[in-house]
Amino acid sequence: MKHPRFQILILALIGLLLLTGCSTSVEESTQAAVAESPVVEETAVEPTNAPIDEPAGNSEPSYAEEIIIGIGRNLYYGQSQWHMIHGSLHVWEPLLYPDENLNPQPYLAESWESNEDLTAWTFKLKKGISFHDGSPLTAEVAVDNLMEIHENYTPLPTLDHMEVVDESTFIIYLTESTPALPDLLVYFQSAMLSPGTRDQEGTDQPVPYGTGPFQFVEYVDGERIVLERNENYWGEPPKVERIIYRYIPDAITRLQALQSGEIDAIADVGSIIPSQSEIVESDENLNLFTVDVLTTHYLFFNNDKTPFDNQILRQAVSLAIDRELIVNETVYGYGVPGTSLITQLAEKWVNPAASPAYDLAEAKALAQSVLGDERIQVTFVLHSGLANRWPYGEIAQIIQFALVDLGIDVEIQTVEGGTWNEMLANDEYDISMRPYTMSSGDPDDFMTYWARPEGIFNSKYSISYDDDQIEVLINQAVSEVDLATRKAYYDDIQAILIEQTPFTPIYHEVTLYAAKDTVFNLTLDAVFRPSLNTVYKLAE
Amino acid sequence: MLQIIIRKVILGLFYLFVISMVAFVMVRQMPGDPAVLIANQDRKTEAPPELVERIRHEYGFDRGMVEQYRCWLQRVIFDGDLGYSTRTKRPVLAEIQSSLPASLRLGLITFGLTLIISFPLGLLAGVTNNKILDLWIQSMAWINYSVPVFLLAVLLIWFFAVDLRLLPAIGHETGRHYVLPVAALSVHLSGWTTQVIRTSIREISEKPYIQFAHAKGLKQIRVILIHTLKPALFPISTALLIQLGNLVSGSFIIETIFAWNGIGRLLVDSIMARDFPIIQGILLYTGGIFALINILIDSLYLFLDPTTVEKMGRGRTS
Repeated sequence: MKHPRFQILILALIGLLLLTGCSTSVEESTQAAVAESPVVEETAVEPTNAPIDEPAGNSEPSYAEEIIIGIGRNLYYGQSQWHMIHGSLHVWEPLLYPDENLNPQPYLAESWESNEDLTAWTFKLKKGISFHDGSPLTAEVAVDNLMEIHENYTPLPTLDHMEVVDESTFIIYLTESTPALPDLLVYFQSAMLSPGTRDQEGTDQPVPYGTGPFQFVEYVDGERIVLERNENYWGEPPKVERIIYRYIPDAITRLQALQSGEIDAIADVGSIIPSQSEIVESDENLNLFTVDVLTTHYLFFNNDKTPFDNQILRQAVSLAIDRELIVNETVYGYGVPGTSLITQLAEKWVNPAASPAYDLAEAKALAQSVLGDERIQVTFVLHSGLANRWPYGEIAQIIQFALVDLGIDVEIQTVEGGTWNEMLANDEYDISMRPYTMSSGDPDDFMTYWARPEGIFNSKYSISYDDDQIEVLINQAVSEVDLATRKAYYDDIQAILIEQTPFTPIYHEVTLYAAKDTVFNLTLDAVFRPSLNTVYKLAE
Repeated sequence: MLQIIIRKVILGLFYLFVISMVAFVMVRQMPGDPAVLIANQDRKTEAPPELVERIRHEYGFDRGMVEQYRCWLQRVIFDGDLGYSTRTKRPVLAEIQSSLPASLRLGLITFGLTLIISFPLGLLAGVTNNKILDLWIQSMAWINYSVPVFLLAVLLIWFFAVDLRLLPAIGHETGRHYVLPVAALSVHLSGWTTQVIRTSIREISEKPYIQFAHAKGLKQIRVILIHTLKPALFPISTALLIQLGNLVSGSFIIETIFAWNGIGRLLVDSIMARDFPIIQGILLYTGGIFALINILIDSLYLFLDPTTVEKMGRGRTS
């Protein structure tokens, strides 16, 4: 800046830059993007140790008005998501909801029936239900919600059209038999929000108007969500007046806040890490609970690239993985070794014969038949965000150690999320890991996303698995009306996938949650919703 | 003097322009296609290519880097519009405004406390060179600075919130909520600032004119406060103001541990989500803070030593 002429030149350049026209409106772009905004995926679990209890004594106990729940992720999404707020908060409710066996049950829907060939499904809604803004839940509103979800979140693959019959009845017409339609409409896939929820474009803090036992009061950016009891709730009213969800991103502080009494419970997926279980158990004021969740952690190969384009080598790697050791050493036993391709909770669909085994001798023999005496180097790429939530680093090290005997030297690379996505998309990996959560008990979505050539994970992560027989079997299974035949198709699919090993399960997740001993009736249900409608706390 | 300050402000604006340009280019070099990320945000099925292309066009990602930057800069300067978050769809300014107060308060209070702790200690260590008190202060300072701030924070929470139940561990609703995060940061930073102050005092104390002042029989207190401290304030104020800049730019670790919604946490979350408009907005804010601090440092120099006017004036016009 010593020369005035240089200063003038710079100023002139800046001026020129600013004075030239600029065509696209960012505001318009953002509004358009808002219209396209999708919604989140949800996990589903089955409760195991439900902490249902009652306070002892004859006198009527005094209840606290407020319960504070600590969570490790933000559950209010505003305009960026279709449903604005997570289903765990009981603000909105779905038409269908899975029971403990993951079978769809009526929630806001009263009943449903189909025609003989399962191409037309008639749904009847419960009557007299209103949203928090006072507007009624009608068939028209339900159809609007389902169409929004179909277009922006989970497309119903065989949807033809929907028709409103009367105030509380509508029909979903499908292009082919879809026996799993009720499974495809559970929980998030049939979230009901009032039309007023969508009419808040440009509002700084849009309010989700649902039909649930709690209504949204306030969201403080990245800190807390405040809910209040819906006094006009159509079902049994909740015992607690106010629930506050407190966002505490750090797992250590989250538990310390529970120990110090600042929060009453930690109840969300992955909010207590397995290594903290001993701390909770040793605290006499806290109770620790577990719940089997529908999440399974998978190891997947780049099937299109040497060396794992070789099926025998993929099988050798799978055989060399001691899944029990991984569960015991990395998640302190809070997991189920991945001996079935899909979660063991989807019991009626699991093929017990299709089970990845641990046999190091066989693994060595298989690797030897492919590699001979040659040693190869492969890259195991980990997503740092996932590795922070789950012990992927330790798991990768166990696998790295096991593969040394097979002549495979593993280089572990832990990269940040964006880089991980890019590396996988660009074929710059040999092995990687990620979790997957089934959205219902039906295996349709898993098979579609992972095993079909155009499935999102198969294509996005360059797994590049493509098998004609699998494609035919999935198509048959999706539209098969007879349950036993459908099960037989899925048995065959699982057997083939275990044999060909394009990906392999490592372990099925068990999630921990905890509460103070003054909190009662807090459970996480089959789809991981805490029981906010029944939970209560004794006044301290 | 006013002329020099005006010149500094113009120079600061120019730096800000350069920072914004560099930040813009750097942010766009990050791996991951932003259009794909926005389109696939939490979708279960991969977004169709036409949707990705539409988003690419609507956000202007399909244009050249210079064109994108020009549009962004135009909006910032003429409309005060930093764009919209790709993650939350809220205006960038609103996102920053909701995170900034917590970080500013935390930074300013921590800075004040750090000064209160480290100034007398650094001065004392400097004037009692190599005596037991000096060695003790130096040892404490190094220990404070060596202990990682996250460890200090977790230990403080464990002791004061979990064990004694005296103070809250999370949030910033009341004054009590500030105690632990401010203490963790101040104790950590005061180690460094104490050392800086001590070193500056020592350097000046060893100058011949100070030795001469002592030999002349001037009172110790006068030598320290008038002849030593004043010139030492130049390096000290520079170091401290840069530290202030760091503090008000947010502390990701402290904000995460104490569950504060601050600017540091917002930046890291935005980087993870490739929320380019927010990242740019925060980098611009941070750049602005340091440009302001640069001006403050120069102004302070002018105030402390008016002969600087001549030096600065010469430096800029020769």
